[in-house]
Amino acid sequence: MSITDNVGQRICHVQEEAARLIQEGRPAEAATKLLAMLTECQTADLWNDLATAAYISGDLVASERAYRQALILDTSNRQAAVNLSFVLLKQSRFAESLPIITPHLVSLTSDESAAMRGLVTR
Amino acid sequence: MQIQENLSVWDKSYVWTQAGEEWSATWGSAEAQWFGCLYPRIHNFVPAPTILEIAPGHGRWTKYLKDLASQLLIVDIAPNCIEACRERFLGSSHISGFVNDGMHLDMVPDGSVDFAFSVDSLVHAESDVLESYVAEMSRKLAPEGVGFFHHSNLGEYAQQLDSGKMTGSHGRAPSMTAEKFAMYCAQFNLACIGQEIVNWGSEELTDCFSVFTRKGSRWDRPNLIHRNGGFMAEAAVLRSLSPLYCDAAWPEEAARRTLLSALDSVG
Repeated sequence: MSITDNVGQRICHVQEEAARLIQEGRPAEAATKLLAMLTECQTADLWNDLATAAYISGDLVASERAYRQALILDTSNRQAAVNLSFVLLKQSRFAESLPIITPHLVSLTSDESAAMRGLVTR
Repeated sequence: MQIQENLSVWDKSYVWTQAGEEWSATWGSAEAQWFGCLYPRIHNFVPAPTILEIAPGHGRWTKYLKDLASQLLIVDIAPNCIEACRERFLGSSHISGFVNDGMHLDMVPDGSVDFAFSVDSLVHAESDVLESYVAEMSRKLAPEGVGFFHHSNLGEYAQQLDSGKMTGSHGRAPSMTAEKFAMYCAQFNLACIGQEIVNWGSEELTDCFSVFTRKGSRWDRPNLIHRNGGFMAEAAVLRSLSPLYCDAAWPEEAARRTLLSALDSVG
Protein backbone atom coordinates (compact mmCIF):
# COMPACT_ATOMS: atom_id res chain seq x y z
CA MET A 1 0.00 0.00 0.00
CA SER A 2 1.45 3.38 -0.98
CA ILE A 3 1.40 6.52 1.13
CA THR A 4 -1.04 8.02 -1.37
CA ASP A 5 -3.44 5.11 -0.94
CA ASN A 6 -3.28 5.64 2.80
CA VAL A 7 -4.18 9.34 2.49
CA GLY A 8 -6.97 8.46 0.10
CA GLN A 9 -8.39 5.95 2.57
CA ARG A 10 -8.23 8.48 5.41
CA ILE A 11 -10.01 11.09 3.26
CA CYS A 12 -12.79 8.59 2.57
CA HIS A 13 -13.00 7.76 6.26
CA VAL A 14 -13.20 11.43 7.26
CA GLN A 15 -15.86 12.10 4.62
CA GLU A 16 -17.96 9.17 5.83
CA GLU A 17 -17.59 10.29 9.42
CA ALA A 18 -18.48 13.87 8.51
CA ALA A 19 -21.57 12.69 6.64
CA ARG A 20 -22.64 10.69 9.68
CA LEU A 21 -22.09 13.66 12.01
CA ILE A 22 -24.07 15.94 9.71
CA GLN A 23 -26.92 13.42 9.65
CA GLU A 24 -26.84 13.36 13.42
CA GLY A 25 -27.19 17.13 13.51
CA ARG A 26 -23.58 17.78 14.54
CA PRO A 27 -22.27 19.85 11.60
CA ALA A 28 -19.74 21.78 13.70
CA GLU A 29 -17.99 18.54 14.68
CA ALA A 30 -18.07 17.44 11.04
CA ALA A 31 -16.46 20.72 10.02
CA THR A 32 -13.68 20.29 12.59
CA LYS A 33 -12.80 16.86 11.22
CA LEU A 34 -12.93 18.04 7.61
CA LEU A 35 -10.75 21.07 8.38
CA ALA A 36 -8.17 18.86 10.06
CA MET A 37 -8.04 16.66 6.98
CA LEU A 38 -7.80 19.71 4.73
CA THR A 39 -4.64 20.86 6.51
CA GLU A 40 -3.12 17.60 5.30
CA CYS A 41 -4.62 17.28 1.85
CA GLN A 42 -6.63 19.67 -0.33
CA THR A 43 -9.36 18.14 -2.48
CA ALA A 44 -12.46 19.66 -4.04
CA ASP A 45 -14.67 17.01 -2.41
CA LEU A 46 -13.35 17.81 1.07
CA TRP A 47 -14.01 21.52 0.52
CA ASN A 48 -17.46 20.66 -0.83
CA ASP A 49 -18.24 18.64 2.31
CA LEU A 50 -16.88 21.39 4.57
CA ALA A 51 -19.09 23.88 2.72
CA THR A 52 -22.10 21.64 3.24
CA ALA A 53 -21.34 21.39 6.98
CA ALA A 54 -21.14 25.19 7.13
CA TYR A 55 -24.40 25.49 5.19
CA ILE A 56 -26.20 23.19 7.60
CA SER A 57 -24.80 25.22 10.49
CA GLY A 58 -26.43 28.25 8.88
CA ASP A 59 -23.13 29.96 8.03
CA LEU A 60 -23.80 30.93 4.39
CA VAL A 61 -20.65 33.07 4.16
CA ALA A 62 -18.32 30.23 5.16
CA SER A 63 -20.32 27.84 3.01
CA GLU A 64 -19.99 30.01 -0.11
CA ARG A 65 -16.28 30.50 0.48
CA ALA A 66 -15.69 26.74 0.80
CA TYR A 67 -17.76 25.85 -2.29
CA ARG A 68 -15.80 28.43 -4.27
CA GLN A 69 -12.56 26.89 -3.00
CA ALA A 70 -13.79 23.49 -4.20
CA LEU A 71 -14.42 24.96 -7.64
CA ILE A 72 -10.99 26.57 -7.71
CA LEU A 73 -9.46 23.12 -7.17
CA ASP A 74 -11.81 21.46 -9.65
CA THR A 75 -13.71 23.78 -11.99
CA SER A 76 -15.83 20.90 -13.30
CA ASN A 77 -16.98 19.68 -9.88
CA ARG A 78 -20.69 19.35 -10.49
CA GLN A 79 -21.74 18.91 -6.89
CA ALA A 80 -19.86 22.01 -5.69
CA ALA A 81 -21.29 24.08 -8.55
CA VAL A 82 -24.86 22.96 -7.87
CA ASN A 83 -24.45 23.49 -4.13
CA LEU A 84 -22.90 26.94 -4.59
CA SER A 85 -25.83 27.88 -6.81
CA PHE A 86 -28.23 26.87 -4.05
CA VAL A 87 -26.35 29.01 -1.53
CA LEU A 88 -26.50 32.00 -3.86
CA LEU A 89 -30.17 31.46 -4.76
CA LYS A 90 -31.05 31.21 -1.09
CA GLN A 91 -29.78 34.79 -0.85
CA SER A 92 -31.63 35.81 -4.07
CA ARG A 93 -28.30 36.34 -5.86
CA PHE A 94 -29.72 35.15 -9.19
CA ALA A 95 -27.24 36.93 -11.47
CA GLU A 96 -24.25 35.31 -9.75
CA SER A 97 -25.88 31.90 -9.65
CA LEU A 98 -26.93 31.79 -13.31
CA PRO A 99 -23.52 31.26 -14.99
CA ILE A 100 -22.50 28.73 -12.33
CA ILE A 101 -25.57 26.53 -12.67
CA THR A 102 -26.21 26.85 -16.41
CA PRO A 103 -23.69 24.15 -17.51
CA HIS A 104 -25.25 21.72 -15.03
CA LEU A 105 -28.95 22.35 -15.66
CA VAL A 106 -29.38 19.29 -17.86
CA SER A 107 -27.86 17.02 -15.20
CA LEU A 108 -30.02 18.21 -12.30
CA THR A 109 -31.91 15.47 -10.52
CA SER A 110 -35.65 15.94 -10.15
CA ASP A 111 -35.15 16.75 -6.45
CA GLU A 112 -32.46 19.34 -7.23
CA SER A 113 -34.59 20.83 -9.97
CA ALA A 114 -37.65 21.09 -7.72
CA ALA A 115 -35.60 22.65 -4.90
CA MET A 116 -34.06 25.15 -7.29
CA ARG A 117 -37.44 26.05 -8.73
CA GLY A 118 -38.65 26.64 -5.18
CA LEU A 119 -35.84 29.11 -4.57
CA VAL A 120 -36.38 30.87 -7.89
CA THR A 121 -40.14 31.24 -7.57
CA ARG A 122 -40.47 32.13 -3.90
CA MET B 1 -19.92 39.55 -49.48
CA GLN B 2 -19.51 36.18 -51.16
CA ILE B 3 -20.43 32.98 -49.31
CA GLN B 4 -16.84 31.92 -48.60
CA GLU B 5 -16.07 35.39 -47.29
CA ASN B 6 -19.13 35.29 -45.03
CA LEU B 7 -18.06 31.87 -43.74
CA SER B 8 -14.52 33.05 -43.12
CA VAL B 9 -15.59 36.21 -41.27
CA TRP B 10 -18.34 34.77 -39.05
CA ASP B 11 -16.74 31.39 -38.40
CA LYS B 12 -13.12 32.42 -38.03
CA SER B 13 -12.06 36.05 -37.89
CA TYR B 14 -14.91 37.78 -36.04
CA VAL B 15 -14.42 37.75 -32.28
CA TRP B 16 -17.82 37.02 -30.73
CA THR B 17 -17.09 38.44 -27.30
CA GLN B 18 -20.63 39.78 -26.80
CA ALA B 19 -22.60 37.19 -28.78
CA GLY B 20 -23.70 39.86 -31.27
CA GLU B 21 -25.18 42.12 -28.57
CA GLU B 22 -22.73 44.78 -29.69
CA TRP B 23 -24.72 45.31 -32.90
CA SER B 24 -27.73 46.38 -30.88
CA ALA B 25 -25.98 49.23 -29.08
CA THR B 26 -27.80 51.76 -31.28
CA TRP B 27 -31.09 50.51 -29.78
CA GLY B 28 -29.67 50.39 -26.25
CA SER B 29 -29.59 46.57 -26.16
CA ALA B 30 -30.71 43.51 -28.11
CA GLU B 31 -33.66 43.32 -25.72
CA ALA B 32 -34.73 46.87 -26.59
CA GLN B 33 -34.26 46.17 -30.30
CA TRP B 34 -36.30 42.97 -30.05
CA PHE B 35 -39.23 44.32 -28.07
CA GLY B 36 -39.23 47.84 -29.50
CA CYS B 37 -38.26 47.30 -33.11
CA LEU B 38 -38.55 43.67 -34.26
CA TYR B 39 -41.38 42.16 -32.23
CA PRO B 40 -43.89 44.87 -33.23
CA ARG B 41 -43.11 44.06 -36.87
CA ILE B 42 -43.59 40.28 -36.55
CA HIS B 43 -46.16 40.02 -33.77
CA ASN B 44 -48.96 38.91 -36.10
CA PHE B 45 -47.00 35.82 -37.12
CA VAL B 46 -45.91 34.50 -33.71
CA PRO B 47 -46.12 32.35 -31.71
CA ALA B 48 -45.90 29.69 -34.40
CA PRO B 49 -45.53 25.90 -34.10
CA THR B 50 -42.34 25.72 -36.18
CA ILE B 51 -40.01 28.66 -36.60
CA LEU B 52 -36.94 28.64 -38.82
CA GLU B 53 -34.17 31.12 -38.11
CA ILE B 54 -31.57 31.56 -40.81
CA ALA B 55 -28.11 32.74 -39.74
CA PRO B 56 -28.70 33.11 -35.98
CA GLY B 57 -25.07 33.95 -35.20
CA HIS B 58 -24.60 33.37 -31.50
CA GLY B 59 -28.31 33.51 -30.74
CA ARG B 60 -29.11 37.20 -30.35
CA TRP B 61 -32.69 36.64 -31.61
CA THR B 62 -32.83 32.90 -30.91
CA LYS B 63 -33.07 33.85 -27.24
CA TYR B 64 -36.50 35.37 -27.95
CA LEU B 65 -37.69 33.15 -30.80
CA LYS B 66 -37.25 29.99 -28.69
CA ASP B 67 -40.11 31.08 -26.45
CA LEU B 68 -42.40 31.60 -29.43
CA ALA B 69 -42.21 28.15 -31.02
CA SER B 70 -42.81 24.49 -30.20
CA GLN B 71 -39.95 23.70 -32.54
CA LEU B 72 -37.17 26.09 -33.52
CA LEU B 73 -34.80 25.22 -36.35
CA ILE B 74 -31.64 27.29 -36.62
CA VAL B 75 -29.39 27.13 -39.67
CA ASP B 76 -26.07 28.90 -40.07
CA ILE B 77 -23.17 28.65 -42.48
CA ALA B 78 -20.69 29.05 -39.61
CA PRO B 79 -20.14 25.92 -37.48
CA ASN B 80 -18.96 28.05 -34.55
CA CYS B 81 -22.32 29.84 -34.51
CA ILE B 82 -24.33 26.63 -34.27
CA GLU B 83 -21.95 25.33 -31.61
CA ALA B 84 -22.28 28.57 -29.63
CA CYS B 85 -26.09 28.33 -29.81
CA ARG B 86 -25.95 24.69 -28.68
CA GLU B 87 -23.99 25.73 -25.62
CA ARG B 88 -26.09 28.81 -24.94
CA PHE B 89 -29.44 27.02 -25.24
CA LEU B 90 -28.29 23.69 -23.86
CA GLY B 91 -31.51 22.97 -21.98
CA SER B 92 -33.85 23.91 -24.82
CA SER B 93 -34.52 20.53 -26.37
CA HIS B 94 -36.97 22.01 -28.89
CA ILE B 95 -34.14 23.82 -30.70
CA SER B 96 -32.36 21.97 -33.51
CA GLY B 97 -29.20 23.45 -35.01
CA PHE B 98 -27.77 22.79 -38.47
CA VAL B 99 -24.74 23.97 -40.42
CA ASN B 100 -25.54 24.58 -44.08
CA ASP B 101 -23.77 25.74 -47.24
CA GLY B 102 -25.14 29.27 -46.95
CA MET B 103 -27.74 28.75 -49.67
CA HIS B 104 -29.79 25.60 -49.16
CA LEU B 105 -32.13 24.21 -46.51
CA ASP B 106 -32.14 20.49 -47.25
CA MET B 107 -32.35 19.71 -43.53
CA VAL B 108 -35.72 21.47 -43.20
CA PRO B 109 -38.75 19.33 -44.12
CA ASP B 110 -40.85 20.67 -46.99
CA GLY B 111 -44.04 22.47 -45.98
CA SER B 112 -43.03 22.59 -42.32
CA VAL B 113 -42.10 26.21 -41.57
CA ASP B 114 -44.83 28.36 -40.07
CA PHE B 115 -42.57 31.36 -39.62
CA ALA B 116 -39.13 32.01 -41.15
CA PHE B 117 -36.99 34.74 -39.66
CA SER B 118 -33.63 36.32 -40.38
CA VAL B 119 -32.41 39.65 -39.09
CA ASP B 120 -29.04 41.40 -39.29
CA SER B 121 -27.34 38.52 -41.10
CA LEU B 122 -28.55 38.17 -44.68
CA VAL B 123 -27.81 41.86 -45.19
CA HIS B 124 -24.27 40.68 -45.98
CA ALA B 125 -25.49 38.09 -48.49
CA GLU B 126 -25.44 38.79 -52.22
CA SER B 127 -28.44 38.40 -54.49
CA ASP B 128 -27.62 34.81 -55.49
CA VAL B 129 -27.95 33.76 -51.86
CA LEU B 130 -31.28 35.55 -51.38
CA GLU B 131 -32.55 34.08 -54.62
CA SER B 132 -31.62 30.61 -53.41
CA TYR B 133 -33.24 31.11 -50.00
CA VAL B 134 -36.45 32.41 -51.58
CA ALA B 135 -36.49 29.32 -53.81
CA GLU B 136 -35.99 27.17 -50.70
CA MET B 137 -38.76 28.98 -48.85
CA SER B 138 -41.18 28.24 -51.67
CA ARG B 139 -40.76 24.57 -50.68
CA LYS B 140 -40.24 24.86 -46.92
CA LEU B 141 -43.08 27.21 -45.93
CA ALA B 142 -46.19 25.62 -44.46
CA PRO B 143 -49.42 26.36 -46.38
CA GLU B 144 -50.08 29.39 -44.15
CA GLY B 145 -46.43 30.12 -43.42
CA VAL B 146 -44.87 33.57 -43.44
CA GLY B 147 -41.29 34.78 -43.75
CA PHE B 148 -39.60 37.92 -42.47
CA PHE B 149 -36.18 38.50 -44.00
CA HIS B 150 -33.88 41.45 -43.41
CA HIS B 151 -31.68 41.91 -46.45
CA SER B 152 -29.63 44.48 -48.28
CA ASN B 153 -31.03 47.19 -50.51
CA LEU B 154 -27.61 48.67 -51.19
CA GLY B 155 -27.88 47.82 -54.87
CA GLU B 156 -30.37 50.67 -55.22
CA TYR B 157 -27.45 53.02 -54.63
CA ALA B 158 -25.11 51.58 -57.23
CA GLN B 159 -24.33 55.01 -58.69
CA GLN B 160 -23.55 56.60 -55.33
CA LEU B 161 -21.43 53.58 -54.43
CA ASP B 162 -19.42 53.95 -57.62
CA SER B 163 -18.93 57.67 -57.07
CA GLY B 164 -18.05 57.26 -53.38
CA LYS B 165 -20.98 59.41 -52.26
CA MET B 166 -22.48 56.92 -49.79
CA THR B 167 -22.68 58.00 -46.13
CA GLY B 168 -22.16 54.38 -45.08
CA SER B 169 -22.79 50.90 -46.43
CA HIS B 170 -22.19 48.84 -43.25
CA GLY B 171 -21.07 45.79 -45.16
CA ARG B 172 -24.37 45.50 -47.00
CA ALA B 173 -24.28 43.36 -50.14
CA PRO B 174 -24.10 45.66 -53.19
CA SER B 175 -25.88 43.26 -55.54
CA MET B 176 -29.11 43.02 -53.53
CA THR B 177 -32.23 45.24 -53.65
CA ALA B 178 -35.79 45.23 -52.33
CA GLU B 179 -37.03 45.06 -55.91
CA LYS B 180 -35.01 41.92 -56.57
CA PHE B 181 -36.45 40.26 -53.48
CA ALA B 182 -39.99 40.89 -54.67
CA MET B 183 -39.00 39.60 -58.09
CA TYR B 184 -37.56 36.38 -56.62
CA CYS B 185 -40.80 35.84 -54.71
CA ALA B 186 -42.79 36.15 -57.92
CA GLN B 187 -40.33 33.89 -59.73
CA PHE B 188 -40.76 31.12 -57.13
CA ASN B 189 -44.51 31.47 -56.79
CA LEU B 190 -44.45 33.25 -53.43
CA ALA B 191 -46.19 36.51 -52.59
CA CYS B 192 -44.10 39.36 -51.27
CA ILE B 193 -46.67 41.14 -49.11
CA GLY B 194 -44.72 43.88 -47.38
CA GLN B 195 -41.40 45.66 -47.71
CA GLU B 196 -40.10 48.26 -45.30
CA ILE B 197 -37.04 49.89 -46.79
CA VAL B 198 -34.98 51.51 -44.06
CA ASN B 199 -31.79 53.37 -43.33
CA TRP B 200 -29.31 51.57 -41.08
CA GLY B 201 -26.65 53.80 -39.60
CA SER B 202 -26.65 55.92 -42.74
CA GLU B 203 -28.86 58.36 -44.61
CA GLU B 204 -29.49 56.04 -47.54
CA LEU B 205 -32.15 53.34 -47.28
CA THR B 206 -29.64 50.49 -47.52
CA ASP B 207 -31.73 47.80 -45.81
CA CYS B 208 -35.07 46.12 -46.28
CA PHE B 209 -37.44 43.98 -44.21
CA SER B 210 -39.37 41.81 -46.62
CA VAL B 211 -42.45 39.83 -45.58
CA PHE B 212 -43.58 36.98 -47.81
CA THR B 213 -46.00 34.08 -47.85
CA ARG B 214 -47.44 31.44 -50.12
CA LYS B 215 -49.73 32.72 -52.83
CA GLY B 216 -53.30 32.22 -51.70
CA SER B 217 -52.48 31.93 -48.01
CA ARG B 218 -54.56 33.93 -45.57
CA TRP B 219 -51.74 36.48 -45.40
CA ASP B 220 -51.59 37.05 -49.15
CA ARG B 221 -52.20 40.59 -50.36
CA PRO B 222 -50.64 43.03 -52.79
CA ASN B 223 -47.15 44.11 -51.76
CA LEU B 224 -47.14 47.19 -49.51
CA ILE B 225 -43.90 49.10 -49.79
CA HIS B 226 -42.94 51.71 -47.22
CA ARG B 227 -39.76 53.76 -47.39
CA ASN B 228 -38.84 54.53 -43.80
CA GLY B 229 -36.07 57.11 -43.48
CA GLY B 230 -36.84 57.49 -39.78
CA PHE B 231 -35.61 54.06 -38.77
CA MET B 232 -32.54 55.39 -36.95
CA ALA B 233 -34.65 57.99 -35.17
CA GLU B 234 -36.83 55.11 -33.91
CA ALA B 235 -33.67 53.38 -32.68
CA ALA B 236 -32.60 56.53 -30.84
CA VAL B 237 -35.94 56.71 -29.02
CA LEU B 238 -35.65 53.07 -27.99
CA ARG B 239 -32.10 53.65 -26.78
CA SER B 240 -33.26 56.51 -24.59
CA LEU B 241 -36.04 54.33 -23.12
CA SER B 242 -33.92 51.21 -22.72
CA PRO B 243 -32.43 52.07 -19.28
CA LEU B 244 -35.94 52.59 -17.90
CA TYR B 245 -37.48 49.31 -18.97
CA CYS B 246 -34.90 46.73 -20.04
CA ASP B 247 -33.20 43.91 -18.15
CA ALA B 248 -30.19 46.06 -17.29
CA ALA B 249 -32.46 48.03 -14.98
CA TRP B 250 -33.25 44.85 -13.00
CA PRO B 251 -30.33 42.42 -13.43
CA GLU B 252 -31.38 40.11 -10.60
CA GLU B 253 -34.95 39.84 -11.88
CA ALA B 254 -33.67 39.23 -15.41
CA ALA B 255 -31.39 36.44 -14.16
CA ARG B 256 -34.24 34.96 -12.10
CA ARG B 257 -36.50 34.81 -15.13
CA THR B 258 -33.72 33.35 -17.31
CA LEU B 259 -33.09 30.66 -14.72
CA LEU B 260 -36.78 29.85 -14.40
CA SER B 261 -37.11 29.62 -18.16
CA ALA B 262 -34.05 27.34 -18.30
CA LEU B 263 -35.54 25.10 -15.59
CA ASP B 264 -38.78 24.92 -17.56
CA SER B 265 -36.85 23.96 -20.69
CA VAL B 266 -35.01 21.07 -19.06
CA GLY B 267 -38.23 19.88 -17.44
